[in-house]
Amino acid sequence: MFRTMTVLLASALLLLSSAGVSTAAESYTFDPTHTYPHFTVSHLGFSTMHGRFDRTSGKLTIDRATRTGSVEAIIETASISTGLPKRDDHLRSPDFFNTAEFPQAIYKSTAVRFKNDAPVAVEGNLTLLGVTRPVTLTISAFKCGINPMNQKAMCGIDAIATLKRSDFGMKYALPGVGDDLRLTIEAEAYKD
Amino acid sequence: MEALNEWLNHPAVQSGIAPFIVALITGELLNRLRLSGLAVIAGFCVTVYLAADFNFESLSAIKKIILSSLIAAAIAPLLSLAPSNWRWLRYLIAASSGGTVLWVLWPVLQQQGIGQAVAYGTGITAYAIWLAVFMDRLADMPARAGSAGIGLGIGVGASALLGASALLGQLGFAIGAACGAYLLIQMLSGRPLSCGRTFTLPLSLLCGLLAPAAMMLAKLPWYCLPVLAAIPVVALMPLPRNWPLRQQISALSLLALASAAVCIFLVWRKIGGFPL
Repeated sequence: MFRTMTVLLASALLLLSSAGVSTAAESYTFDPTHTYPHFTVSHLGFSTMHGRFDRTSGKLTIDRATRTGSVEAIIETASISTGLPKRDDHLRSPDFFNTAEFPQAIYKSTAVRFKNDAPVAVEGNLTLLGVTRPVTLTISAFKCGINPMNQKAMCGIDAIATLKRSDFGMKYALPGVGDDLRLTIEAEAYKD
Repeated sequence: MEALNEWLNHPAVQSGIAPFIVALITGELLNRLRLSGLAVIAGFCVTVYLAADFNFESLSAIKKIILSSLIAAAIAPLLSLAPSNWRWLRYLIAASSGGTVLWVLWPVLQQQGIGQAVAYGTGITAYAIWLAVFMDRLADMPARAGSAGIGLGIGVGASALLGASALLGQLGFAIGAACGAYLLIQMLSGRPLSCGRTFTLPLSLLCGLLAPAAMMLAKLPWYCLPVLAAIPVVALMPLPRNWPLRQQISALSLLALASAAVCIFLVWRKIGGFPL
């Protein structure tokens, strides 16, 4: 009898503790090999040019029980790549991203909006070229689970934002090279 | 209205025609007040207005350059009142120029390794001081100062453009265009305009900051700086005293532009073309 009680108590404690873990905020670190912010911008009104930043780091937290979370992403702007080194040099210059002086673009969330249990948007501030402006990321896909290749817990996220580069003081070649910049972020993050 | 906007958005208008016209008007109108030297900063400001802005919310290197040039232009008329043989003032101006270039590019220098930061910091400071000293020596020689200005402006502008920064290039070309207007008035009238530190201080400071910025922020090769630094020295070249003003300006401008061409050639060889 005593033994049965002990087992039941231990099981109850285990359940409670696991329930406690599931309600606490979970912290994830971005996997730089599967995290790439892309951007598109109009080129002289004729076509849409694509570019990518090759190095991004950061963290995200999520607490589904309280429907809260946070995102911090650091984009190394010198890692810009459009497929043409000469154009990348120009994009790194003071005309555009001024990477020698401002080597990082930093996004910090201020709030995460949820629909049911899933996050649908992240409100936050983007600091680019030393200027900080509010930017909202709309989440188009969000999934957490176990990576079948390495059995680690992870989350994946697809998010989209639009911003005006002139808001950040990036005014070169306006209006020829478009002011509206569409930012797409595909990111994966492993649980800490 | 749309056609006007399109016209004003054209880089050749922003950094060539507009600063040239404004400098032409400023140089002629302010000559009676002995402030024709303000033509160079007036031309530069027009290009800043058209190609960038005067918003100083984020004090980037380029914003610091614009701010420094405005401060220099504000105090230059007062410094022009001081006798030109006050050497201590010349060296004070030079030291201030050296300090300014370090202030402007400090955030970039900080990101370098210590050895590289010291090497770059020493080089750009020496360049800015050199330009300030030699341009100050030209303060009482409008034809020579204007010729050095056109060479420095075109040299810095074209080199920066090739070095992958069109904005720094445009700012340099604006100085060249403004100095061209300043020289044209003298050539047409056959009489020298007022010069002084009102002309040479903003000019030397701007060229002393733009070229190092093109080197640190874009891809201007370091060895272009000594070539550009030679331009005010070339403008001191002795000429026959009986030469009329027009002939002096033509000869000195050609010499200054030839020096600028050497710099442009060196960048062209390294970079190999315009930015995309």
